[in-house]
Amino acid sequence: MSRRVTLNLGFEGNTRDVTVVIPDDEPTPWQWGERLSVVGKPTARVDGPLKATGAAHYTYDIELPGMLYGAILRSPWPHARIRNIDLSAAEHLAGVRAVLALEDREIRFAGQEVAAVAAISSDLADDALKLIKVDYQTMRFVVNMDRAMGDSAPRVFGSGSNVGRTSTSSVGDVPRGLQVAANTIEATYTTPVQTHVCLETHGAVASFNAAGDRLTVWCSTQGVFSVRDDLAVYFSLPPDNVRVVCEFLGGGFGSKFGATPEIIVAARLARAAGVPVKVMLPRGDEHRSTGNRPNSEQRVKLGVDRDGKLTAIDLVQRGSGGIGGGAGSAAPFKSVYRCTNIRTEERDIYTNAGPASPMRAPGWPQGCFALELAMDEMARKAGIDRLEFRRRNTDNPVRAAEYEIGARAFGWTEKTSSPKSSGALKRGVGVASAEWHAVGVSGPEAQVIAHRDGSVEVRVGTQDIGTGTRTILAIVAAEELGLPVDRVKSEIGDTRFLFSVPSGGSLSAPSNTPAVRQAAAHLKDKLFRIAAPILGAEPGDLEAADGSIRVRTNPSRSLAFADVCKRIPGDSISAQGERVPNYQGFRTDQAGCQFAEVEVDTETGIVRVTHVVAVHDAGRIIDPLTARSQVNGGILMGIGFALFEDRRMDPQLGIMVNPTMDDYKLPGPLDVPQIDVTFFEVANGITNTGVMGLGEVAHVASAAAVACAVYDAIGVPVRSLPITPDRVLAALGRA
Amino acid sequence: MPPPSARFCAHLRTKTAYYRTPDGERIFKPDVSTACYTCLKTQRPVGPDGRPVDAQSCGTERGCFQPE
Repeated sequence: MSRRVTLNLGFEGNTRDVTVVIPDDEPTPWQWGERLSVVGKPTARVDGPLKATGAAHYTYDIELPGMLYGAILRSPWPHARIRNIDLSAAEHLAGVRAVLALEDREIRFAGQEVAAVAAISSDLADDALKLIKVDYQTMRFVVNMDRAMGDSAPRVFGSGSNVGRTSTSSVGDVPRGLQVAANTIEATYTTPVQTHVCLETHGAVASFNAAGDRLTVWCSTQGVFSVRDDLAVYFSLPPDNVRVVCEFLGGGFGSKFGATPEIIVAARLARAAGVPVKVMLPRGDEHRSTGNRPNSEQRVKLGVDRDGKLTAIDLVQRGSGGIGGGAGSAAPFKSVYRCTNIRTEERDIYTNAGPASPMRAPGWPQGCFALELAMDEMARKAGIDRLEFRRRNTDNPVRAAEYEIGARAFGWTEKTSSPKSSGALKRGVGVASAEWHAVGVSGPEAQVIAHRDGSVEVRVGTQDIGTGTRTILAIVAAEELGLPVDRVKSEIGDTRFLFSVPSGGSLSAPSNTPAVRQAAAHLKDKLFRIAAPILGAEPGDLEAADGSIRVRTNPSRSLAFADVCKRIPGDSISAQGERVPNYQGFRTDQAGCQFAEVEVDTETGIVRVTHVVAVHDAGRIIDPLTARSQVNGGILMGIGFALFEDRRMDPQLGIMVNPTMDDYKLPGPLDVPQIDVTFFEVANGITNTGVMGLGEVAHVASAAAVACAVYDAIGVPVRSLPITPDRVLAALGRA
Repeated sequence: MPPPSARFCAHLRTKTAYYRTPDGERIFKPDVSTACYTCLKTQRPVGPDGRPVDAQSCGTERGCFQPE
């Protein structure tokens, strides 16, 4: 059964009534401008103290009785065939309990898994690895994308081409669009391979029962149910016989979705040894083998007419995800700016390097960098202010409004009209546009429980990738039940709870909060039925607010929430909710923009980001503190991509030469600029909470804004990331 | 057109395939150029037959294909 609800949707100055059809038992979606008691108020992370004091248990912290320590032997060669593996010496080492040779006999990148051991200490496991004798037949390899495309290049996959999937798209007539343009530009932009650098490396603790038919795994994952289902398939177990736990997760950024190799290895060793086994990857393996953002080379052509309107966008791109694909970057070219003639071509190039895996807004930071720097080059050529150029080429009213908010907060007009420094230190500013689509998916279910002591518990089989999931789920339940947030406890990260989806694609908050709200509403109905006879009212006449359950028309007739809970006949009372499919709402996309200011030392080439203003829409913001934290993280990761990060491969040896956090450069505390975040609230009416994801949209434009600011500062575009001092000096002709 | 479950190998993995449509089908988007694929059997972007894996090539014509 369903009902029709009219919602006022949109944003300030641009709202309209939209009628949506929702299931009967869905809470009525929060309306635009509706004042809520705890939603939207800054709330400190409910698990902040646990993390700050070290009491939070990550996979790394799991210790089980009799547990062994696993280690993985990896190929030192980028391309080889394994003729033989001799495990006998490792098997006979005292303290070693299990040794496995892994099945794949063809090595395609340096760092690929070859064998694994489990021993009574991690040092002993490492010693045992050294005793494994592997007879490799080395083969020609290629780690450079350009070389990989050559006719005589070594083939990564047998006799198959090193050119993998090719994707093309075309609308309108690009040659004609370039022909009629008043101005055109053509330039090539490159971005490096970026690794995820999760602070908690990939890893797992696995334990089989004595019968070998039940498996429990603690692992650092973005999807406890994804891992459960993968393990069930891999080990031919019923899903119910597999339990996966991830109480806390130290970063994933897309690389920890399913049963990754070290999880499978831990479980196989545990089954072989008959006791639990822990495998946590060392930092070097994390860099080399657990995924990365592919590199890119993007040849961009733009055309504009005399009014500064785009007449053509043309992208020819290639990228390498090592032995994997997924290196495309065309998405921003197709949708951020309005143009009737757009053509894109993307090609995956295979190399003998570690495989790509999804990484925060896959493809977008690369594409956005190339598109936005090209936009700036075009604006300069056409003599148009860069922000005005973007205004003229957007048809998204949300983004248009955000440009104005950001420009005021940043002081765009003042900063672009003031003269540049005449000294060695040059200041510059840039702006870039973001886009994402994170309305969430159906599938998750939630349970909300009221206990006799008046406390409330939320249980969902989701996990916290670091975004503050526990906190926002508690806030949503507290809002629905009229309680302060500290009365609600969130339990997540366990497949014993009701199903939820992985935390990726910025989908956690918009997928889970509606299920929690519906469950809390159902629980509220049950509590109303307990309270109604005492208050001499009908359940439908009651409301939950200010820690009480009361008669809506006469709030003085009330019972404390805790007093109602004391009348629960059993120990607790609970209700479930489900995430129903999205309704038809206002918009399913998100805009956003970021402004950056940099200082470039033209004598040393060093770039420092001094100020970033970010304006983002993410539907309804549940907790401005955790939301701001996500934007901060997205910007800092973007600064890393813009200025520092670069996986370097030795072309002679085929190995990564900087697999440490010393040599793989990351932003540090001194690289953090002033960051000002404004949330632009858009009522989308797509779910009962109206929440949209924020993790990725906050990262899309960051590196591009920095690159544009550097161009403004020195007057020359640096078309390759990272913008290192040598590249700046080369651009200035001083290298 | 057969349902996706009959078209894609049971061991093919990609980020979107960990989500399901409202009808319960795993979500594959063969046209998305940023999709990273792996095979659950190898946990790598290469199948047991030594060839790359993706939604377009992991079909019934491969000896390692297994229906869901």
